[in-house]
Amino acid sequence: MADQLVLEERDVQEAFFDRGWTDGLPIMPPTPERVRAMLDVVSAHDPDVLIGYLPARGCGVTLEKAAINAVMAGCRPEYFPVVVAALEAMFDEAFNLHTVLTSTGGAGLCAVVSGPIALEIGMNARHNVLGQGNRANATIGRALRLVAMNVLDSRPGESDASSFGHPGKYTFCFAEDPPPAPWRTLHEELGYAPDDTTVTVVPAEGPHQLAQQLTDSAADVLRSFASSIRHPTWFCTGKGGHGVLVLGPEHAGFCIAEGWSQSRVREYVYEHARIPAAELVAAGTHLETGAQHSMSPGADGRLASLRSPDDLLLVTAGGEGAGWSAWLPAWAPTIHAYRATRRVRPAGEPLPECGPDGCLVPLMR
Amino acid sequence: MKITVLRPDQPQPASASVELAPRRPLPDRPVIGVISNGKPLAKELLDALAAEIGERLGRDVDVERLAKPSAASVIGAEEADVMAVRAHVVISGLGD
Repeated sequence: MADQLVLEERDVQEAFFDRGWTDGLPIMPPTPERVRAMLDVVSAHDPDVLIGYLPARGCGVTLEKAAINAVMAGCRPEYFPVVVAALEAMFDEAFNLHTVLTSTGGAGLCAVVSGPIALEIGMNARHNVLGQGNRANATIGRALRLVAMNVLDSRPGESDASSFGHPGKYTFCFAEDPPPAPWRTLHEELGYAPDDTTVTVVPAEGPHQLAQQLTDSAADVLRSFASSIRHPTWFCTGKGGHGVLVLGPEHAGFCIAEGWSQSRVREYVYEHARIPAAELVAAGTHLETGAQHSMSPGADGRLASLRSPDDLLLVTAGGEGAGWSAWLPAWAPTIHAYRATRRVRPAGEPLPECGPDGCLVPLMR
Repeated sequence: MKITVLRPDQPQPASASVELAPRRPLPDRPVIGVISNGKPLAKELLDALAAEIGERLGRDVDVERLAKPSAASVIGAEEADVMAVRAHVVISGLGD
């Protein structure tokens, strides 16, 4: 059970700021009643159940600590199953959470929600999908960062060594707008049932908006997006990276109208994101040799910016307009960390049994 | 009006003080272990450090090298055990 503090209500905000318990913005005071309401939604009879544990930091996240930070972030109780699923995904070994929270590269905890629960809790998948204005998007993402700071001790200038960071480190969560048939939703593409809802977490740099407004050719649109993905200053270019390509309704529509499958889109973008080594060198980028990233070009002299077509997470979202999409680059190549997905358990569904030590996560890969 | 709030962080117990391991005399030709984190020029930097240690000791040294597959991973427990047995001094921390 978490320690309690008794404070004058008017002093709560300053007390939390003084203790370093906020992200720089005011919080909702985590009263026992508000925290209990969160826990009730996930049927948590034991608040000390561990969602995951990081031996490298000697600490783990209990349901109660997650709930406290979700209250502080401003979450409504019905958002909490999504927060829990996102945290479970962050503890996936592939995500390499300790490194994601430590690196000088400053990764955001990007969470993509796909499935009916996103709609039920009022998440935004359309206009301004990556921006402000939707409580569920904003507070679910904020809860993940507050947990990282307060429970996993990821504090800027200390164990969070981000040289720059980015605004997505405050909050970085959005919903998929289910694509028109015959395309399938993200969670179906990942192997989940149509009625499931999933959260996919990606350690990500800030979003990069992509414009394509003078053509309805799918190939032209995707080729121009691939040229953005293989930008010489992206840390993963030529090193086998990954990321999220968020296709706006016009651009996804062009692909569907021309009969492109999602698989074909991924393969096409992958192929055109491969960059000639000479182009990188001409841009002033030095090729890494004898070190962790293999930058030996293939027979055609090119290097892969995405490790494989499947490493491009294709999501449909955003509002109609002149023709916009977005590229959310992973902060580091796949050898360091990777995306992870968990199903959101609907309210009332029992928690999984992970044993007395919770779902233990190895130190690192 | 007073309200009760729950603490959001994970208070850590105060760390017990740690005693340094006893210094042992080095052999005439010590083995310096270096663990590269895989970053560019890490090996070169560590080799230079090992050579510098040898110069300061005023004796020849042998260098035992290990390289992690990436900066985000750790060496295996078995590799660490072998290094602990074979090397007299190990440089294991390296940043960017």
